[in-house]
Amino acid sequence: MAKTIEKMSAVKILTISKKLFFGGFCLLPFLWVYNILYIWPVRNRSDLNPKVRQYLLMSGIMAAVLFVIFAAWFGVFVNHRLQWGETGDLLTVVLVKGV
Amino acid sequence: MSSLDTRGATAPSDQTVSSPSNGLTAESTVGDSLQSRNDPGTQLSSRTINQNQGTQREGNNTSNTENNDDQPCQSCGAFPAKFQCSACQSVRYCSQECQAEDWGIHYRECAEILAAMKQEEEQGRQRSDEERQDVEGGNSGSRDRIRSRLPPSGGNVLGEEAENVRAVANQPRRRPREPRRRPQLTPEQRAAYEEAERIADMKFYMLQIYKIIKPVVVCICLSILWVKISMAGSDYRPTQSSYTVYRESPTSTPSQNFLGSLANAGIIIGQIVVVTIIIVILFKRGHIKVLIGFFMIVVAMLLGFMGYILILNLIQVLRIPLDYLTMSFALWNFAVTGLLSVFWKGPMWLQQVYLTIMSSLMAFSLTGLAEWTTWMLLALLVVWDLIAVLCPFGPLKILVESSRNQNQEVPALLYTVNAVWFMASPPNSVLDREANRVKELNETMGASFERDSNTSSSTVYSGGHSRAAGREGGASISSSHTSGPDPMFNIGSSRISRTSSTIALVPNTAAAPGDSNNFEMRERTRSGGSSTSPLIGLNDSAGNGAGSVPRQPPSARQRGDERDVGSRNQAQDEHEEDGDDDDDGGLKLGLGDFVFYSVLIARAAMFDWVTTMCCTVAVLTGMNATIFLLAIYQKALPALPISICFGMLFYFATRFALVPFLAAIGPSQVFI
Repeated sequence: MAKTIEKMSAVKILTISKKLFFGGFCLLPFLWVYNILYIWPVRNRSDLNPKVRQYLLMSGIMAAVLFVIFAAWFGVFVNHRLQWGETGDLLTVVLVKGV
Repeated sequence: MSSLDTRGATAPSDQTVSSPSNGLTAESTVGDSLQSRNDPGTQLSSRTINQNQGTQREGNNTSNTENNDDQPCQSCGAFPAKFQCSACQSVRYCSQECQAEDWGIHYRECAEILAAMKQEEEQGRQRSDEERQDVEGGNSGSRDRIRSRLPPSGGNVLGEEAENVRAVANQPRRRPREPRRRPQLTPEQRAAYEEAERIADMKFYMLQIYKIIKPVVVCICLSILWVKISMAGSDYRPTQSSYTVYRESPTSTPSQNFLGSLANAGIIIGQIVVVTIIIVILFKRGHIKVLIGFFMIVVAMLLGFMGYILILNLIQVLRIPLDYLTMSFALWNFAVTGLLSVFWKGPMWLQQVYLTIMSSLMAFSLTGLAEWTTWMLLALLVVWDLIAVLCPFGPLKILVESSRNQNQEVPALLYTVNAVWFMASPPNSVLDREANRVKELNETMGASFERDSNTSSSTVYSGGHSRAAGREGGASISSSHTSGPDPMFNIGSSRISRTSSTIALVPNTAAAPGDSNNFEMRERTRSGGSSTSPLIGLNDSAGNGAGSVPRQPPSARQRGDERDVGSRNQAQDEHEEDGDDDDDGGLKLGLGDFVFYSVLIARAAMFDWVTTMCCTVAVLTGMNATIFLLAIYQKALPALPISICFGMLFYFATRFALVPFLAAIGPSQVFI
């Protein structure tokens, strides 16, 4: 749709924000980031439902949390995959040569 | 004819936008039209206004004068300022709120301008009165009939609106204005006008080139990057495509290679042809949802599966230890976000990024083809592209035409620079029916107007919100070029799958809804504008939904008329008559073209850097040449042939002449 976010009605923005926020719970933190990026230009519109800002805030927090979790997991994986032996190899997509 | 009704029907919405100046609207309507008759001095603007009348007469109103090029919103300075003060037409706004805000300031100048207009009107009145007499009568009957059919919204015309309607109702009487006007244009003026228009055309296309080059270059660079990274790994073997029947081996002879690669490429081209035809058939039958589903699957596969292959390559080469958990998580996010941004709503830049990445992924996956096969494929594609777009029965030509006839956009993934839309207008059966009814009424108007009235009436019925009346509507040519922050390029990525290859650089068959940008090209290119408005009308209904703020009315007719007045004698008429695919709006460059440009350059990148750079320059030059030709011919053109031919020429010239030459002079330190 060619309609940009600036031209949308406040109600519409609220629905979009809500959908994106709840969609994010299917392990989709990108949607939360997407939500923020999408709604950001109109976040200060006066007619906007205050709930939208709440959704944005929650999205940001959740996305950050999930990102931290995955970063932590990746760190653990990289450091411990050799110690895990079999399991570590099983988890690795492409076995890295020479390590 | 139906124009009146249009005006009547939309009067309420009209009023909403022009609310502050409502009392003045009616007056000014009369004033303008009269004024236009008698000041040949201000040729351009008066002509445009005249246009208005013509347009309204035929039903397709709209308007906007040309003199406010890229004027920003008076109140907030924002750019797509699509509404005008309906009274004085001198200022523009982006929304009703802005106009309301600004009214406190604007009303004074508005009154001044109107006073000036009135004076001119006085002078013009005598002359127009004569005119009116000869045309009196005739139209009123059917007008009333139509009006009685109007939805209730048209009925509650109150106060100023009623006046408004009345004012407009007068307009059809002035019908035979055109023949009379023409002599007023001296040849010099006409020539000057045409010249100005041509210059505007060229400037517009130049802008388009700038806009289109960026995504193409990004896509090409990404493809080069993928290839170079993959090649950095010592053990990189491009995965052979599964549907190649012939495998090149270093020992095979050129003739074996030739025939084998011909077979391989033939298979791929065959797939492309079949899928294209299926898409055309589906589209003609109106199975839009099937098409959308198909494209969604394609996009999902592309993002997910090709993304997976690319990641495998990258982590292998870069030796990143990656676990399945993280990878699937990332891919899942990547693909879903991409799907949403392309098919649903999303920030524009994200959509553009996704579409560019998608085409580069596609190009990367095609680097798996063997060398001979790649070149053969590209050569055959050039031929196919020519056939599909230029032949009378070429599938893409049919697609473009039927999208116009059916008032439907081709459901395709479109990379627009101003907006990515994936929108198929619903099969507006109701609208069509009503349009047909009105069409019957309008048959008295004569064959040439049938279509317009038909379409315009569909506009009317689409909820009475398409701004029927003259002035708030469309943007002027120049203003619409630049009015948005966005260019109007639609790089149609239709068929990202293989078919995509074939989509041509076609004029936009489907204007983005409510987007003034898309009108202007068609305005300029159409003469009679026989079929321009349907798209817009439907778009309007589809895009704005019921009762939202009326956006752009189809301004196409208007321009068309303008043309008629100004330069009827031109070849433009031919366009109208064969209804060929001249522009409907902005330009579309198939994402398929993206993909195959990138394939060519990725193949060059597998050789060496000199070749890569030469080919890049050649392909981009070819693309510019194509757009240039488009500016001249103003009809659908295939985008692949010139670019690919240039690219191949440069590839072989560089590979077999330039590179050995450089290799020879390099060691001996010859500086030229």
